[in-house]
Amino acid sequence: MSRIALSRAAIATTAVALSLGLTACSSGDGDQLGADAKQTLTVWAMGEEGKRVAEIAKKFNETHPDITVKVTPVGWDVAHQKLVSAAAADQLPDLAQLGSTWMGEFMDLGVLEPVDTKAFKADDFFPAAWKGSERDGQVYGVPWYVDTRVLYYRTDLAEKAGVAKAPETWTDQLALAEAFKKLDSTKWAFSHPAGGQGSWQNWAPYLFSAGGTILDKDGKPALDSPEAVTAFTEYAKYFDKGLAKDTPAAPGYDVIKDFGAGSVPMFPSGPWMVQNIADQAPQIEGKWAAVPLPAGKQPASIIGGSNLVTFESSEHKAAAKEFTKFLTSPATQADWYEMSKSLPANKKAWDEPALKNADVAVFEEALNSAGEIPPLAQWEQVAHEIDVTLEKLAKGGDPAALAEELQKKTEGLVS
Amino acid sequence: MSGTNSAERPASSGRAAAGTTDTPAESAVTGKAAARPLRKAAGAGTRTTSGGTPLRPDRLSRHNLSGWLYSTPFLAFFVTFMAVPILATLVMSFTDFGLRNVTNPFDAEFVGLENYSELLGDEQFLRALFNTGYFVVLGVPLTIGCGLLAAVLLNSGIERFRTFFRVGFYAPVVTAIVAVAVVWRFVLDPSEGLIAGLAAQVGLTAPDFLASESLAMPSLIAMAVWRNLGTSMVLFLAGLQAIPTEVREAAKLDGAGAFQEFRRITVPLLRPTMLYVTVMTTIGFLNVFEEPFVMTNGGPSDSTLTVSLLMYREGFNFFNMGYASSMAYTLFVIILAVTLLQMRLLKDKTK
Amino acid sequence: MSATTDTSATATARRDGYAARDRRTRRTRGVTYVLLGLGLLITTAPFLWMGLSAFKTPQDLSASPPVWIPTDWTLANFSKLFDLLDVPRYFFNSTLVALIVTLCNLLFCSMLGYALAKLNFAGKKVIFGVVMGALMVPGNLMLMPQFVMVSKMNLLDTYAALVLPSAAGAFGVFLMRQFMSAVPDELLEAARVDGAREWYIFWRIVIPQVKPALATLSIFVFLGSWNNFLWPLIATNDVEKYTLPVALATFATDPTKANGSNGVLMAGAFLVVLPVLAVFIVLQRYFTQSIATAGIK
Repeated sequence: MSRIALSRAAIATTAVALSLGLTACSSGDGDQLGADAKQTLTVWAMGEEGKRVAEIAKKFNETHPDITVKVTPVGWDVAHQKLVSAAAADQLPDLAQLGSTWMGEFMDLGVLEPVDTKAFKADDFFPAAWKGSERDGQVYGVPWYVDTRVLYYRTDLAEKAGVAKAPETWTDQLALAEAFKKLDSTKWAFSHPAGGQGSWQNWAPYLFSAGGTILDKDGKPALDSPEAVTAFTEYAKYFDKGLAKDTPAAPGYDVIKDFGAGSVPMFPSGPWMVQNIADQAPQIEGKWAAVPLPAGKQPASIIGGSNLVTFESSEHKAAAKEFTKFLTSPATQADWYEMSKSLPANKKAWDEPALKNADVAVFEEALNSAGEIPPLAQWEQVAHEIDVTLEKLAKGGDPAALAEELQKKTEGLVS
Repeated sequence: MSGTNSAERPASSGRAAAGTTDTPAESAVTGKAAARPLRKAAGAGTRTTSGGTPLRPDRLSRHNLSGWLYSTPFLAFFVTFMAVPILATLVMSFTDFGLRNVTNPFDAEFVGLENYSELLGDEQFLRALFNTGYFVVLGVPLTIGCGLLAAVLLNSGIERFRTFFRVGFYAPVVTAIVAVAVVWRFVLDPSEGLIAGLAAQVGLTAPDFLASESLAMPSLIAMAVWRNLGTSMVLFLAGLQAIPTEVREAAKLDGAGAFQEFRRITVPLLRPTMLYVTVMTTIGFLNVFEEPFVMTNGGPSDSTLTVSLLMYREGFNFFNMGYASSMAYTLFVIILAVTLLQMRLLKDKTK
Repeated sequence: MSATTDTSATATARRDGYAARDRRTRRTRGVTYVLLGLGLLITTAPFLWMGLSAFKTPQDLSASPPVWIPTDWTLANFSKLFDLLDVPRYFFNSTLVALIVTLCNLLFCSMLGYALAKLNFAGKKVIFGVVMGALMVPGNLMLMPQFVMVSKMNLLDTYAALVLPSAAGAFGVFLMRQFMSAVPDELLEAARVDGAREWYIFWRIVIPQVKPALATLSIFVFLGSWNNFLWPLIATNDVEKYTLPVALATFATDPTKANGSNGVLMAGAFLVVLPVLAVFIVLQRYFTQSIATAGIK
């Protein structure tokens, strides 16, 4: 690939120059305001959280009366596009909520301000959440809230099928699925995505549990490691034995309906499902349980959630830091849990009464053993390739061969 | 148009109604100016243009100024907000514009035709191209056919419930895609869907439409036809307006049946509308994005992956903007070729 | 043209013609209604589903098999929606933008369409070619350059930013050109002979002739603007300037709620559809109005 570097003079004559005539990123240390000056802090947060941040900011104003927090709520589906566009036009806010898998991309854009690690301590947060925003010794985001995967299953149907104990290992999980399959009410024993967007989230725990990682020590993909092949092999068993649907679910498929009806008695998902099941399938109250994902070699789930990032272009970094401190403090995190049911990223918050009294121990356990997605700029593409691999796997593809193919594809992506 | 006028000169009014659809490929002057000699406008010969040359008695020179005056308002907006971004995207397609260039566009490297050559060897793109073609070849004629049928039926002189029917047929067009998706999933659901239910009545089992590589695309085509026939119906209804009632009456008195009337009056006189609807529907279908995006996300195994969907993925999920732009322009060239072909085929032949 | 009117036909012939026609008409009319009725069933189903779902409880929404008629009607979805977002405000924004965009398009597109259809001037073919070209460029990639331009003009978060990029749409030009080329040249020529100004001809002769097309264009543009989503999303950071679809996507879709937010979403979708439908109902009568005599008075 021979590439001709284009001289600035030539490009300046083009329409790109016209329309993308951007000022270089402002260094952003010209007009920094102190935290106690009168100022407006602009914050972008996702969806309903945006509304709640505006509410919780009132409490912040009790101690910081001069900082007006102006929140723009942005829909989850579109936040990515809005943020990237804003980066292109140098129109970023001071502070934003960033999905944990987007960290790599925005680090590459060079728009994030490194976190002051004296003010924010790694030990205060779940290790996987912290590691997800670390690169070359610098940290670019403070974990705000986390989510993880656990296994939901119908205890009443399990008993009916002759299984009394919660599954703890991969073998248990498979046996339980086999038992479920024998019941007449069962359509699919296990909701286990056969590819389709986001299915990588279901496969990653198998990888972590087998002792594997997404990247090796040199930062190269490690998706054809023996551990990865083990994970693929385990994942494929459910299709081979007819325990899971071998075609991708339609986008927007909601498992709760089938879970409530008993036709799909077991699925892995996040903490929000507790509330959703209560709302949408009240008839099965007390007939289901959430347990940590059954383990292979070691217990492992996957961590997700959101971080708080400050942008380099901000002129209110001191105020942004204060607000971030406030949002990640144990007390606020506990309040936040009460408001939104989002799990605190700050470990100390779990000792607050709000969480002590809630039924969240299973998630805490999962979070302590969760693996993280490394901050890769091309993560979206890598994730897509894993999704595609899982679809092929469900069609009966050979795990080892598919892992090799996946490795080849992703090696080219990760620079 | 006045009734008396067309009764006196039915032939010419018929021709007028059919319109003269110039294509860009044909001279706009010869067709009309030669078709009928012009009466000289009184006092036209004495005026001079700004250039000082005496005006020739044809219309070419007479409209230069007003032509541009009428064009200016549109062009002012258009050039600023459309032409510039279009060109910027074109330039982008010759570079390796990626995520890092979002904040530093000038670091994008010029790669010549590399994106395009890579595209032609990209199996996924070729697959998407094939799928899009499949979608267009089946979907466009069906949409236009159903739209025309609905318009003709609604225009056939029924009085009762007319508004009701029109609104009903247009309802899918205005319905939000989220709602459409929910309903169509229900229609196609293999276990408890509408079709599955009907099939069960007669002792058959319905296939899992969206999970089948051979059936997913036809399902989406059905959905697209259903969603878009309202648009073509509205256009045809407006087009049917241009057909003078006298011409229809005359044909009926000559004993033409409904079908004959349709073939000999409606079809020829609807030419300009037909051309418009065909071109617009084809452009829309070649850009198909929403249906696969909400229903299948391109699956199963890329069987419903369309060019626009792939472009969106490359451009906005992966941020390979250069590559996505080259995809956009490849699609553009295809659309251009198809449109020119359609304009040639559907040109007004009644002259 | 094969159809000619025989104005000298005798009364008898005419009566026979009418009688035969009546018999035929009755038969075809029955067929027509049956076909239309079937079509109506199929086309309105999703629309009804949306409307009905807006009044369903979460249990009904995730019931299996699905229920069409809510078992108990509830306004909870609407109250939650009004709770989540300032509906009147977004409604106002959407309406204002859609109306201005529609008016701009009607004016600019009909003017250029007229020039392309009825005036001969140098550069006409080039203009038509460029406009048609713009029609064919897949749109969503232009978003980024467009956005950067608008932000450089310091227009972000203004109504202007929401209106300007779609104030002159290429498809409207093509539509108006097609319909205006069907206006008989004689009408224009006669008026010119009478010494009418070009402006008068355009407003008084051509525009009345293409009312159906104007109605069509209004609906399409209004609908397009009303449902436009990606542009208003990136062009506004101030919640006060959000349009209805953007606000809905922001507040009513939560990836962790799958069907849980469906009710709210349906309520929102239902509200979003109403104005467009109202516009359609108002304008649709122009599609089959009986032809007014718009000759030269």
